[in-house]
Amino acid sequence: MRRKEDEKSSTVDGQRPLFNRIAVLRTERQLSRQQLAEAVGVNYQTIGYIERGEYNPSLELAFRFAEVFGLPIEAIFSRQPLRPLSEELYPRPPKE
Amino acid sequence: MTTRSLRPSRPLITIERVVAALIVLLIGFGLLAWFEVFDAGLLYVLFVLVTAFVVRSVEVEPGAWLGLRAVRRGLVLVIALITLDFLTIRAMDFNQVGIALLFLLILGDVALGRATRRIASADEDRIDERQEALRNRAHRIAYAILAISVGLVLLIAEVATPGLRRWLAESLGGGGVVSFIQLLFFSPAMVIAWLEPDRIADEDGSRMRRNLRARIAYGMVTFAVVLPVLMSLSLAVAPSRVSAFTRPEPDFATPNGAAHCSYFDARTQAGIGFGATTRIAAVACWDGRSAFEEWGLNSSDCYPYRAEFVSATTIECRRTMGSDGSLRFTHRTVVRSAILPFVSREVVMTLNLTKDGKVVQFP
Repeated sequence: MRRKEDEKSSTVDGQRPLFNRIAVLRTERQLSRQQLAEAVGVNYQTIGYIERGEYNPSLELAFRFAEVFGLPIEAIFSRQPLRPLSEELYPRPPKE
Repeated sequence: MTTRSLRPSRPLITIERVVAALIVLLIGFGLLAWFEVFDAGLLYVLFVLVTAFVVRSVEVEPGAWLGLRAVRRGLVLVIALITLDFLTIRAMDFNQVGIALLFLLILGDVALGRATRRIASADEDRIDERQEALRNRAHRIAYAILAISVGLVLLIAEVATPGLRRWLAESLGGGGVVSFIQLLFFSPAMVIAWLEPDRIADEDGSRMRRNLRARIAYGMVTFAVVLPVLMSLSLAVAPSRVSAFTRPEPDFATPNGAAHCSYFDARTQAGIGFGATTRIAAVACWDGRSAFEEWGLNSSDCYPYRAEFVSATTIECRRTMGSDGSLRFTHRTVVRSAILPFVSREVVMTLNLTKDGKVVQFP
């Protein structure tokens, strides 16, 4: 059962979506997929699949993203849909 | 493409490698037994194996077309259909029908390797965690498909009627072997091609590096594909090569007096590499009244001496005695390419010997 859970965590089939900001962060740092892939040690296609939400990375890989971007993991990955960074930096004032 | 720095180094001798080596040895011995001697066909097969080895050492990207899942699934369906079709090919029909299908299958498998970046058989240090997970899943599904296929065959063999069992035996003795090898070695790649999503259309995706090894590999693939076609065309284009010699045989007494004999040996080769050799090997004698056959000029002597990737059909095998006592033997064969069935050549060999032992025509 444990093994089944492990295998599921490496696919997106039948599990909760994992949202990420990799595309935004990569563009912001002017990194190509190839460069980011080399930095974290995966195939550049894998970066594309993660950005598209078609693959959920392992914890090990998530930490490598965090190291490359210099951000905490929760700033890159989330179980909830992520708000745009600009909104987080400059939140709209609550409507009266 | 790199991944784990924490991955333990892989031992040189693993159970997978030992099994792979055993399978290669078995196939090698099978090929040696099949071809009997080292000839063009065997050399070609060896060249294809070397080509496969070189191609495997070159990294590939699937490209725009093979990157699309719909195209990959279409490719998998075509390969599956050819694999199924091999089950209907009996051993005796293999030369006529199977060769062309086999080439199609090989081409399909090469395209499959490119479409999947050969993830199915790549070393672990060449794939990342996503590819490894995909490969594990594909191997699990492929193993189930293989187990079910073999299990079904065994089940049919167990409960089948004699007629069905005979059909099964004929199928497995012919193209069934190809189907089994295809499933054994390529079903994981087929599953990966089926499962993997569309390739990311990347603005900066790693282009195929056209280094020297890649150029050599693609040159070898082109050569491997073109060579059988060229060699098949040579059947129609290249002139037949004839070698012949005669040798006196000991005389012997007949009611008509002493008979003189000669051994006649002639070979006609049609085609280069993929072709056929027909042969006359006979002893004919003459005694001044007539020429006659001692041995080797009968209908049972008309068969192709060698045929590779062609079908050789005898259309005339006739020995006649002329009213002037001469002996005439004609062996006429149609050699047809198995790869390009519209390419054929007629080969005629004749021995025409007068009653005085004068060779009018040979071969």
